[in-house]
Amino acid sequence: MLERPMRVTEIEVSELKSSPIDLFLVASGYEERCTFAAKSLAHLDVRKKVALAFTDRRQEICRLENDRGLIELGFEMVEASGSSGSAAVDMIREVVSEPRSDPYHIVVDYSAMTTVWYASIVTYLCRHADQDITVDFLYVPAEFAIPLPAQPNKYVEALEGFSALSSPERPTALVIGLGYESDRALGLVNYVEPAVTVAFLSDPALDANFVDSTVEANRPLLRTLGEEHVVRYPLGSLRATASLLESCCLGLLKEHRVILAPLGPKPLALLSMLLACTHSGIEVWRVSAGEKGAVKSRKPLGKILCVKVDVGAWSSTPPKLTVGPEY
Amino acid sequence: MTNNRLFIGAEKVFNARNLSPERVARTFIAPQDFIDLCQETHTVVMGPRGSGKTTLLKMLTPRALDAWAAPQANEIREEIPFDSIYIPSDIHWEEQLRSLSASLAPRLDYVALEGIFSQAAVTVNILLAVIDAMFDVIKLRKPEAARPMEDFLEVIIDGWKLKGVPPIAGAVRESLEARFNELFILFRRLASDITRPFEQEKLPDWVFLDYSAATRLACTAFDNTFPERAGRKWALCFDELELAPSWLQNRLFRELRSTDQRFLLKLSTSPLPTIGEDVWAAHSEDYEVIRLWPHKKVKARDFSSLLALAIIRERLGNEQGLAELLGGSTVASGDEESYSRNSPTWHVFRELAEKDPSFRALLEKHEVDPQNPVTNKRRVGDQVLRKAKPLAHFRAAWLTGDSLAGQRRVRTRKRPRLYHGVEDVLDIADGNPRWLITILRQLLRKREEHPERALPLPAEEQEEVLAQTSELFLGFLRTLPNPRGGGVLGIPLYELVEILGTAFEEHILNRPFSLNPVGTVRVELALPEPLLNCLRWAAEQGALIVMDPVEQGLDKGIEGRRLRLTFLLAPYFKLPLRAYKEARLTTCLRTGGLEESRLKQMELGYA
Repeated sequence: MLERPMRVTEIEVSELKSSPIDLFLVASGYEERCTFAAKSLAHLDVRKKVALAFTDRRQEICRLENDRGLIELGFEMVEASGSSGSAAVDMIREVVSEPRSDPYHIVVDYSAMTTVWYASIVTYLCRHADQDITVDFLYVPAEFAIPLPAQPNKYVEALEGFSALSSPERPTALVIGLGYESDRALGLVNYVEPAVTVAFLSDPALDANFVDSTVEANRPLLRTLGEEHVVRYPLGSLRATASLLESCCLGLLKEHRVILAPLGPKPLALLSMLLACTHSGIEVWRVSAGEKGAVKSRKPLGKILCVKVDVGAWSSTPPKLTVGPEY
Repeated sequence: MTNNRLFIGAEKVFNARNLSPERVARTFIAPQDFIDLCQETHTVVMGPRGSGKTTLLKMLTPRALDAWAAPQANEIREEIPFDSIYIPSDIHWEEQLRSLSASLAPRLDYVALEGIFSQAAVTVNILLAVIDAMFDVIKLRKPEAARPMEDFLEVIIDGWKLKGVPPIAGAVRESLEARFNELFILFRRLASDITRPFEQEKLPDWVFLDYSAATRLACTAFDNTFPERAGRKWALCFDELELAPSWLQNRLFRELRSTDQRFLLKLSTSPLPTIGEDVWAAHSEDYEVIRLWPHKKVKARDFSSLLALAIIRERLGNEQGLAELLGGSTVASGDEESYSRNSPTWHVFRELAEKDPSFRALLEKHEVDPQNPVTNKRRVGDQVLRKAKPLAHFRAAWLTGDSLAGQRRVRTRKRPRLYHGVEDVLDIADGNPRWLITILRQLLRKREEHPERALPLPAEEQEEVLAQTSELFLGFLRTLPNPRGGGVLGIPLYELVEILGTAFEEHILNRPFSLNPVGTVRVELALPEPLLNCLRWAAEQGALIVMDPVEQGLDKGIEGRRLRLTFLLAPYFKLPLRAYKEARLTTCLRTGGLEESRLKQMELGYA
């Protein structure tokens, strides 16, 4: 998939202050954590701040408060539909339109973004961006909340820009990032009928309750797969997670068509997309229930996980996280 | 690292798609359908998921036939007048094609581009299958023919535009497979930049190869190089054709009547393929149709019992029989004695007559004493008591006095042994090998846990396994995404099944006793397309069974067809294993609880 050289590293959020930021992009929705990163990093030198404001659920839970808070922090509100990533990409494209010698620096808080939004950003970076850009992807983990009853699967498909084409004679390997919605992963396995299934389980998670909840929601699947097909990854270490994901997928890629289906925490989804960007033949699929019913607030856990993506030229700093080959 | 299963949570079940031909052959039991498929005719194999389509097609391949060691294998092998080329397809492949095609949609030249891309991808897939089959034939059929293949490969290299590739088998194959990636890059660039000009003349020549011409060329070259196979045909076996692009489906169905005489087509597809108007009706005499599900002409039990016996003997040894392990069904057995005084059914009739006035009235109408429900009139025995037997068992088990007084039926938690015995196990599997294997493995585990017990397996244990499998299947349906073309307005599959099951339950258990209650539906004409898509999807997954496919050729569509729920769902909905009277589909949907507004939305095409 990769059409521009890309390097991916894990950094501490404290490292962000080192250079001025051209664009800080966040989402404003109903989740309480929407403003956490923006508030925590309010001291940074940012030229443009944009909040993508969901066009739906304008009154629910913390939405009004988030809009107000982000405006106070200097964010410009731009309305965006959750099912289209064009607003997010347009913002970045606008900022990086002028050629310049230094790489552009963009910060994206994808904690409350839809998968389509940050998938579009990743696609843009690895395929369309003709400037050197550094993007820091921030994720604010949420406190555990008892999941709402899962809606049935409605759509199972490749994420736009993350498909591949390979011989159907090759068996399919399905690598699933487990989430805590019951039947979601199960449905995918039943639908695709892969020759091989590997489940990625966040253990340890940032909140131990997530582990129990995920195991409970996926008990029939885990029982059938057996321990040898379950990879436990530490969500707190994106570097370790990326390494596990990469070695698993590359091993499978030799003989299989590989589908990555990150149904679980967003950092795993982001790492999956970045991995697919750097290795052709890996696909990223989404499983969706379509329109959500009731929703819950997500309270921030109080920390920020950060992945730095350098597109084009980059400094000689050795990478802390490796996704894909070095370029 | 392999796991293949019918549905997770159940036992592991082999899916032939993920198995090598040799592995498929190792446990293959040839049904009559396979003998039919081996004939020198074009054949369309139709069936729901898990019905064995892939197994049958894979068994035609040189490698599978060579590895097959069953007693009749030699005879069948020698009589097959063709060599097969197995062309795979699956949901993953379908999604790859769909996804890349969709990404071209914003371009103004989308139609032309998408057509070129789709045809090129399909052609590469077919040519890979052709070359693999030919190498297998060389290896297996004529081991002494170790003559140089250069001439043959030179023709392929030239004809398939593999310029610069050395005439070595592995190199030809590798270059062909690499074309998938080349195609992907080529068209993704066009998709990601809609302003990028598309210059057809700059595309490589191989993109425009026609699969049929390229296959003919290879086969001619092969037969010229290896004349000892003169007279044998080539069978192009397209598996899971319902997942292929629609242009290919239409073209292949058209070619059933006008293809090169050296070729046979063996197509596997869903019970109700969506094919073009001009294709479905004509020339049905030019091909045979094999339907892998029980319908008006085919009973499921014959092959199922063979398969079941093989599974039992594999696990428990040669001495075990099906009847010995499972015994007979209380409800389905047709013994004369079952209606005699003090027989289990006699007691059931009496019990029901006491609490169900409508049943009592029926007996009295036919001059049968509700206190002693026997008869010496043959007609009453055949037409009333025999027909009433399964219904009476179910109503006696599930109805309470309250429900008959017009109040909501109270269900007992305990299962009343309505499903057990050979007949019920075979019927519930509904002719589907995957389901049968799933059920039997669980039953055999029960046996292995208590080898000291006398057989048959206790009825309640059999019923427990059957009920669990039924629930598991409904759970599986719940996890499936919407059907292709079902759109947002369609009814999710599990919901459609719940609605119909509820409607049949209402007719069979709650309404006044009838010897032929509503238990099947007839699909009316001119129903909204989202609903038809859901029904087709349900048939594809095996949740709905098409009871009256056309006598010859293919069904035009699902409209006008009579459907029933698979018997696998009968334990969940507490339904007898019978196909009762039909009612209009929409009437049943309403009875089952579908809101009028949703039907209206589907008709209007918007929410």
